[in-house]
Amino acid sequence: MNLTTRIRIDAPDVSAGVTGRSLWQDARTRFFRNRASVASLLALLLVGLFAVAAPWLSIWSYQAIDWTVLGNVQAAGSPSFTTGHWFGTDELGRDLFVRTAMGARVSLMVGIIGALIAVVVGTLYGTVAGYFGGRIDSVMMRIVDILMSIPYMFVLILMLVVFGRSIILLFVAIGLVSWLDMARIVRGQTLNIRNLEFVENAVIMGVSPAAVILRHIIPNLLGIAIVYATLLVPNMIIYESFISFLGLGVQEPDTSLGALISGGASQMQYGTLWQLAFPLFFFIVTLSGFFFLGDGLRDALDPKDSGR
Amino acid sequence: MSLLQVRNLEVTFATGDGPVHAVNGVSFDVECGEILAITGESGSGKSQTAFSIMGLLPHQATASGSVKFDGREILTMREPELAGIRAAEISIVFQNPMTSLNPYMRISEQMTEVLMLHENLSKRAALDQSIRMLDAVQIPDARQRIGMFPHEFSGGMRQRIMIAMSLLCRPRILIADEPTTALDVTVQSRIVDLLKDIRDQFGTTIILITHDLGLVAGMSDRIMVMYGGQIMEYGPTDAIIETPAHPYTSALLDTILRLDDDSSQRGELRVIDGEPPDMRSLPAGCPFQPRCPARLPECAGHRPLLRATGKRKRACHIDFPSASP
Repeated sequence: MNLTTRIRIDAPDVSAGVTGRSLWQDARTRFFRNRASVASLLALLLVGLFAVAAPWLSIWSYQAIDWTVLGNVQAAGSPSFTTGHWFGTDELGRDLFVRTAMGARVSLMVGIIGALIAVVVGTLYGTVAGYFGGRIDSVMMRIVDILMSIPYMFVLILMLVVFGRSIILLFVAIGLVSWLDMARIVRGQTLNIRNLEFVENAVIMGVSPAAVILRHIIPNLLGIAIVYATLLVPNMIIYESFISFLGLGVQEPDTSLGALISGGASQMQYGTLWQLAFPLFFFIVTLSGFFFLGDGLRDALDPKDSGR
Repeated sequence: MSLLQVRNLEVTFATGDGPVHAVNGVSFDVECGEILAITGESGSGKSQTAFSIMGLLPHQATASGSVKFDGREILTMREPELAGIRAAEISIVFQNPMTSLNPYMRISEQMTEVLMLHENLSKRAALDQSIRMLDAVQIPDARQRIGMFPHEFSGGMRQRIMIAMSLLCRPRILIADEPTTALDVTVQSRIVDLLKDIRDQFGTTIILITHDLGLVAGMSDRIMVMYGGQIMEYGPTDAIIETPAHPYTSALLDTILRLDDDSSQRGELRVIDGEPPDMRSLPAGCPFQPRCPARLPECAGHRPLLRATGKRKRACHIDFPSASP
């Protein structure tokens, strides 16, 4: 008697199960239970909000020079509420609050666009290579190998010299590199999933390759692709910062976090530390935010990890 | 004419170590509405025989001989035509219900995918038919549960869903490739009962591949015992179980665990001595001869042919008293 009642309690609630809970929904629940990942998501949202909203909050524009500060940055350009330069000014007397926001916007854009290209191009390329296998796979992956072996910084510098510095070229350069690793990872996953019985079943039933890839293979590797993409965003930001640090990235008066940090670092000896501190703070918050987010997503998307 | 005619089927795998002969000259007929059990040890060629029937061999394998389904030759058929046959006429249930369903798709989506592709049904009609089929395989509350995801079902239920999926287009032959191997014993017998029900209800011909003779004893109409890619014995289930006419069949029957048996109460399991043959270089004579307890001198010399006595066929040089009808 005892046993039967217990079984009845343990049985799933059928009336509530009309729609069923997908693995994605389970993952969402697990994600929001993880405090670090929720905090990082929140921090990233705040950085994003700051990047978008800051220009409207300040009376200064990102390229206007405050002539009262110019020449006396160390004394007059420090962070202050009275002048309206909440984060101080840079060495030319431009408002750092607005410039940091602009830098964050460019860096986030570079990171997210790079990751998006990686997810879209890399996933499609990798699944096609892995799904069809054989000679198609070999040719496609050798192309990836060749592209990977080209020293990108060199190509990028050449491109920037030939075509002139522009932010679009920067996106092109980052897009060209970012999908290569993703294509490899996705191809490896596809090879695994390709041999699972539900894929085989769909194939032998005559479902078209496009439908098999889109409906059966991609959803099953999307978890890995998304996690890898979140880890890729900081890499892209660092990549862009490095290019900007070299003076090859975005063009003045536009800016990015990397360019701001570079500028701030070069002014350190004059005692204007805020020029380094504020961009660096947002840089670190953004990077660690994405790293923790990726970590949290990886835990959440691993169904075997649901025990906690 | 039989629904399925297999004549002199040979399947050879090209491997790095040379050709492997998985199936060696197998011939049999499957009648409409019967349940045929193909049994034998791992590597006896039973799965490859069944895969050839569906035109499902991997690309390093070549098949020769003839497999005729309803008068149409399967082995030379082109891929688009095969895909149509696989969906609508011959379908298969795989061994592992855990990897047979896409974890990210609702049961409803997976079931309607095939119906909408091959029967041109509307989404609504496909869903209705899927629910009816889930009812038929005794999934409780099918209408509600069809919206759920695979991980919300138990292994036995998933195997039922797989069976329902394979029956959706009302195939004439259902091949079940070790459908119960990944399940526990109590669930196994219910799946077997279900298969029998399906035959009675829909008239589906079932080819059941299993290494568990005990499981098929109660449900199949005929048994085909394979060893080394050849048919050892073939005939009505009752006759073969009661009076096995081949040393390999009786050895297989001996390995079935019985609670009323003395030896198993002493904690001993009966096994067949020796190893299954190396399929790259089969012995010249009978493939079972190195392990056979009753072998004769001529067994090593030439391969016994499959000979019919009454309804039964067997390939053995030894005269079994029970072999005569």
